[in-house]
Amino acid sequence: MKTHLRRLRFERGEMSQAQLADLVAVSRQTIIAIERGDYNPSVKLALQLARALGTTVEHLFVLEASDAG
Amino acid sequence: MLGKRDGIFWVASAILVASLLLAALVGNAFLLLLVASYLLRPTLHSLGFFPKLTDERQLFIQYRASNVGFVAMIVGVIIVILLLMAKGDHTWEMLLAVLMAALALRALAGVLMVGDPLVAGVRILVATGLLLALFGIAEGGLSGAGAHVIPGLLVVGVGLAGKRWPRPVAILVLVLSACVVIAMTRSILAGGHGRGWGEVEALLFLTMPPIVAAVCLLRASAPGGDVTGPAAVALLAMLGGVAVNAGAQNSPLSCKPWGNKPSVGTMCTLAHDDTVKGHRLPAGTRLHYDTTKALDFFWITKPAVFEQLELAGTASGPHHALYPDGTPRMLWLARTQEVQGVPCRPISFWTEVIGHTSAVFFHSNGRLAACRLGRVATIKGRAFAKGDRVAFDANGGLDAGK
Repeated sequence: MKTHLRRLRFERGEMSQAQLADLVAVSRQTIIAIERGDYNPSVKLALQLARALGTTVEHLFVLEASDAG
Repeated sequence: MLGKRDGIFWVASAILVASLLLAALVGNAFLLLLVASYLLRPTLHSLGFFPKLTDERQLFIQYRASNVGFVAMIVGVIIVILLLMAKGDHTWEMLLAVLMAALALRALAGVLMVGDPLVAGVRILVATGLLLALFGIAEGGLSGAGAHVIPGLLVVGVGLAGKRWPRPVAILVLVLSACVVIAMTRSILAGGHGRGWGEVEALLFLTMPPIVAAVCLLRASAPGGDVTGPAAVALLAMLGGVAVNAGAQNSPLSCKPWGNKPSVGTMCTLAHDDTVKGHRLPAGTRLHYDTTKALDFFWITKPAVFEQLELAGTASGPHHALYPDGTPRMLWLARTQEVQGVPCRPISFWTEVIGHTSAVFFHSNGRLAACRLGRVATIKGRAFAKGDRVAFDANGGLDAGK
């Protein structure tokens, strides 16, 4: 799964990882892990991230060919 | 977990400080507090407290790490159990009970977390029934499997019926569980302080899953989800049964038929320390009377002194045999001891598995007949190695070696 989290974060006024983490009530390490692709967030957290960045989950996360079931 | 100094952070910190203070002041008992501090947040979350004070990624890591730790703990406990068995130390039964309780709790929690009380109730009853049938076969062997699996299969049937009639089945299961609790508590209390962990473990394993299943089925049958009334009534009934039995355990000997065939004899339990056939026996001793009402064997539920010998004892054996006049016929020692000047070895898991029995045999006149040596010894001028079998005739003469 690919994520545009990092790009969208910068497009929203260069929001820091810590600021975003505070907005969605997770640790900064979790934001780092999501941006690196090391952790797939829950639906709830994905929706919270999308809302915090003013976008949709579909724009924030994109399935890759390797994710096809 | 969130990296913020929230309430859980401060509580965990306080526990940590308390543990360090304990370490500094008494140098003891601080390790458990350290563990409590470390596991406070994931434990609270697992129990459903403060869900907003947790980070889902870190919880996911904790979940996987805990599974690895759980497996390591199980392997460690199994190794310790095997070591204790090899030493003949029956503390392994307690460890096994804790291990089984942890696994059973994990299974129960897993089923309950599915979130469907009807499914949970049926699954718990069916699984309990299947395990009962399995243990029935293990206990009775394949030849008697037909009779031994019936109770388990009945529980499976009751569990499946719970899918269609949850409330009647729940009430039936609660009543049956109450009867089992009363009967087993009566048996345990009659045994006094000498009873083993096995009995308590059996009581918990036999009754807790059905009670949880019954509560689940009651929840499933009550759309409002209020099961407090019936469950409380059942609990009170059980506690009442326990109390009644606690008051009724004053009879010195409680007896019941032994085995599946009434012709095999009668098994009785001493309620308090008593003298039987001239031997002082501790409370909880199981006495077996044959069909002629003669005491032919007994077992003690934990090691105890009998005729100046420390005998082995657990909740299930070994069986110490007597001649009809009460003279010892076959005894199992708890440790290597001098029996009429011969250092006889104790019973152990390995000696019995390998087949070189460690029983100490006596002639009907009371003289030592045979045993295996617990250490090297020279007996009547002849050298014997540890583990050698020495035998004597009824007059005390060396009969045969090896």
